[in-house]
Amino acid sequence: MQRVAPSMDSTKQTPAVQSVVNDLLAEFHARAGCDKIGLTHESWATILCEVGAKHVSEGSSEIEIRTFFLSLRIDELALARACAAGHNSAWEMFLTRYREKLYQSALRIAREDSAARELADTLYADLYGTNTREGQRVSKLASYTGRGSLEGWLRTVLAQEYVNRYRRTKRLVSLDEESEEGIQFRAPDPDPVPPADPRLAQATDEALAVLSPEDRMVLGAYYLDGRTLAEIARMLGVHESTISRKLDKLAKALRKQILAGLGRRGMSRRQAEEALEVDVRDLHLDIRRSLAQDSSSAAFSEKGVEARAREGPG
Amino acid sequence: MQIVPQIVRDRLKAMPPAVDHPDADALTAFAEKSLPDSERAVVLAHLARCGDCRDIVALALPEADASQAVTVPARSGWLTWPTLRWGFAAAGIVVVASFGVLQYQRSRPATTVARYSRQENMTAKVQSPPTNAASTSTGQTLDTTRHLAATMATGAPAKLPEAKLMSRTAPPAVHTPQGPSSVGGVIGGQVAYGPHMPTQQQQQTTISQMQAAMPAAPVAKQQSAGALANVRVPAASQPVNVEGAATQIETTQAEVGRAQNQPAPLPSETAEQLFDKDAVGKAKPAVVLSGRNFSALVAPRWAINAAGGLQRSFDQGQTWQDVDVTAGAPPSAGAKSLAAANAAPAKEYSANKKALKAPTSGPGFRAVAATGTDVWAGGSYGVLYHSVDSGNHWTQVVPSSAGVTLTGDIVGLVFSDAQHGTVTTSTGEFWSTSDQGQTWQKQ
Repeated sequence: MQRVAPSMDSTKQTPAVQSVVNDLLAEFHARAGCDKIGLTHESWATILCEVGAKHVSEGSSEIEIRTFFLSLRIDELALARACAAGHNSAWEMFLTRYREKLYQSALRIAREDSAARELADTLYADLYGTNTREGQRVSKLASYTGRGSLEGWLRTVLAQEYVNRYRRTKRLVSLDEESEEGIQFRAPDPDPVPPADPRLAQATDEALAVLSPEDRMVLGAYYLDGRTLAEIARMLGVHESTISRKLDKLAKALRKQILAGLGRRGMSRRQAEEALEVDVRDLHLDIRRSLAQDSSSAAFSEKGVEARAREGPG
Repeated sequence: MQIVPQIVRDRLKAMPPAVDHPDADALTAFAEKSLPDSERAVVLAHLARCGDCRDIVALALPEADASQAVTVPARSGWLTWPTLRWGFAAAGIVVVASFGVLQYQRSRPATTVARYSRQENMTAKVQSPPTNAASTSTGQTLDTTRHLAATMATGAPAKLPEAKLMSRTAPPAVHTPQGPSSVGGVIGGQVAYGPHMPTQQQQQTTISQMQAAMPAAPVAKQQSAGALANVRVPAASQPVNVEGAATQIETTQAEVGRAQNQPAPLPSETAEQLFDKDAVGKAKPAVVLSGRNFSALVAPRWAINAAGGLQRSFDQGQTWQDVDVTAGAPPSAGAKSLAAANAAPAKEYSANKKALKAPTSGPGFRAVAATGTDVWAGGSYGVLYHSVDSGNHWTQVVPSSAGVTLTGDIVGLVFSDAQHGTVTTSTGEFWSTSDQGQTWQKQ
């Protein structure tokens, strides 16, 4: 999976950024304890300039650039980059602080002890930079820029690794295991049966296109991934009730928009409603969902709920 | 809840696959709400189409109970009436209490007690004096009121979630507008780092992290400090290896450096200046007049900087000078080992528990209390120093009683006057003196 940062060319070094970096360099150097982890002023300045060039948009004022740098997790950035550069003192500190947390997060993600250990160990190798490219040590930590917490970043990298692995081995997993795992990942999707009338698909696409990306993300997370309201709320940093209300509103609005779209395509009101009629599958899901609604682990499938209950804390 | 028709789900699935997946850095920043709006929109647009990345964001979420603070819209909460209501109430209490305390203070000798300053989350702007770490000179009652106001004004009950981000810590954090509530953010994050596998090195770093976090911790009553000390008891009670002095120093600076970026405590300049004036009027004259004579007559403000060094200011905090407790002190075991520690932060474990890993200008101080020119400063490993001349000369004091010596780090010092005071340690010990430190009783 190709991963790129959605930002500008990282080799640009704007004078504005450089000037702010020079200004803040001494303070940041001391605050991050760069001396103790082996980062010189020069290398630290280079790192800061790189981060600034990558994430500060062109034409930003000095105050905006300064605000950006002050919002970074300076000490975590320094530690991560010192580790990436191979400084042992930094690596020691990193292990002291994060080793246990890393393992705990891996356990929560993989839900099984040996898989978690393997996941954590693989990540350590990546972080330490045992891989080399053109003779240069390559560490994932070099891509951390301090905008989010290092701990959160480590969890994300673990999750990425886990998702990649699961996707690779997915085809080898039996159908039973797949349906049990359904709660964790999207259920394997059989090709959707194309509706008899293509106007329905067109009207639906039209209705979806006018939604905001956030709305579509919530719909996808809830209906395709089977995430709970609480999980989606935490992903977006809002309250659970916000998500619940949003989904309700979306369901009503989509229905209205699709009916209107079908009307514009020549269907009568009655025909449109018939086309949108809730089918048997929907009814089944509806009942189960309303039963599971109050529980925080609202499941997308019965088996998923049972699997969770059986496995317990893992 | 109304559900969408099956066709909607089918069409969502049928969207073309997403490319250009955001890297871990972007996804983390997205989840922690530290992306600028434009970039957040880009990531959202991708997440709307990419189930893999949605899975990653969901899997990478921290523990459910730890992220409760995220769901409380802290930033917007400031202007809602329920919060404002408490804000007004708190303001009213502060005003009333201030009057009461001022009246009380005028009727008795001035007392000044130093406290840790608690960083207020999302209140004042960031102030940049070098010693943002600790504030000085507040009466206990005013301090309580301020603490109450601070708690109420945040508009959310003080929980102990994980930082941030971690570090969050977490942490916690440089992310001023986005971090979780201040108390839990700093302290809770550090507690979460506590030893699941208690390696000695980890112990030490945990302690040093908390030590560094303490100067930046919210203004706390002594009970709160005691409670925090209790929280740390499991960590501190295990044997600590004095290995890796560099590690501790770095984390100290790092942690406090992060915390320093948070807003300063509630302004209390007026009250403190009044206190200082009172202190000056009643300064103790019993000092050796040599060197900086004026300092013997004028009671300075005291603070502890990011590296655990003592500082004093004779101009109400405009300028600060480092104070070296070992300079001019009579030769003692403590001084010698301090000199040794200063000379070479070695990695060997020292049998003398008073040997502190001195970062730059002195041992790792955690608390300072001053009554006029009479000053007490205490810190790691039970180190306690006393000066009667505003810090020009110091003697080291070891509280002991019936053969039992004070253990643990000194985290609290309260002196109501030069004679009477109490010491609280990280191990939960409570020592008191009523004769200016000549004898001590352990409670």
